[in-house]
Amino acid sequence: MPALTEELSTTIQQAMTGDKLAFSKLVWRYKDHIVNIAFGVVGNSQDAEDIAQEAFLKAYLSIGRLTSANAFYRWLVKITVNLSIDKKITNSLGRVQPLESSLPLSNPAQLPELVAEQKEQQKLVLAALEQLTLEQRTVWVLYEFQELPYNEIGQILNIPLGTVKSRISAARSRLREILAPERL
Amino acid sequence: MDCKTCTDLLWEHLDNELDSDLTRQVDKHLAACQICRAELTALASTTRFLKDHMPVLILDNSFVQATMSKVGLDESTGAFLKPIIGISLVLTGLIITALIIFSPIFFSLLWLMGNIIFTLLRLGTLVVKTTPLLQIISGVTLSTLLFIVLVSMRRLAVRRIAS
Repeated sequence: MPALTEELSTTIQQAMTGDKLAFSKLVWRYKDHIVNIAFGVVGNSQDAEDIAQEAFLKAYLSIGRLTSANAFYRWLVKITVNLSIDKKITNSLGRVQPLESSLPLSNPAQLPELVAEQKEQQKLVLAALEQLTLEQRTVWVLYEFQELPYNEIGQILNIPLGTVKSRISAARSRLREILAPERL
Repeated sequence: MDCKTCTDLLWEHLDNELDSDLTRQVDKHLAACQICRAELTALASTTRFLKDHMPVLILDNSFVQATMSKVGLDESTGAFLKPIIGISLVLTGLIITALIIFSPIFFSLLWLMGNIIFTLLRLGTLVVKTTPLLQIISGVTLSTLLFIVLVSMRRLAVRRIAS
């Protein structure tokens, strides 16, 4: 979780009073965290970007109701996770997108062979994540990928600490099962 | 410590979540057990593989600009709508209140509705039809309800435009 410096705390407080410039600083500060949480849950880069934008917009519309600057990041992550879960459920009811279109664009400066290999590995990871339940996947992304502590995840998802731990454990075991033969 | 207990603790061991006593016991078991050592290596390599190959998205400034332009749209829409809708709401409320209190047609309508409701509920005939205080209370109540409905509609409209 990003540390809340005094400067950042002041920026959040300014944004809470409706300061648009301060809010744009927060968008800049947290955009990559937020888009990667959304991407981890939905597994599609375009959807993740749309979710991130919607999350910031929702945050802007209701930031005045936030009682403490310390709660901002957790609150923003909660908005993002809820939107991502909704999107994932909607997507699962519709057409399945090919994994190739889900990946972010690669760096054009990289060697084509390297890019191809990297994309294969990324597809493998995304395909493995697709096999987790939505609950396991969400918790795994927050813990393993965003490195949020157990208690923070529990507060974001409104679930007890024991449930957080058991979901992470189940997700990891499942990923180990799925990925072990592929890498050998 | 047996292999089952050790295996159950390996993820927490990797995360440094175990207390010093358990860490020592797991380390002792790992030093003596090749199978659990292999399992630990496999778990660590799974985690590393996932972290190394999970795609990472990096957004540039165009994302901030696009987001802030949506935020700006909402703000300007809100700024434009708020006074107009606010004044309209107050005027509408005042007109309806005045009509209900002073217009015989509106009051008759209110009286008729009251009679129907009272009859349906078997409470007898509405006998308070000429009480001015009740006329005012009815008017204010209806205006308040109307106000709440209009404010909700405005909120929905602003949110829809913003998204």
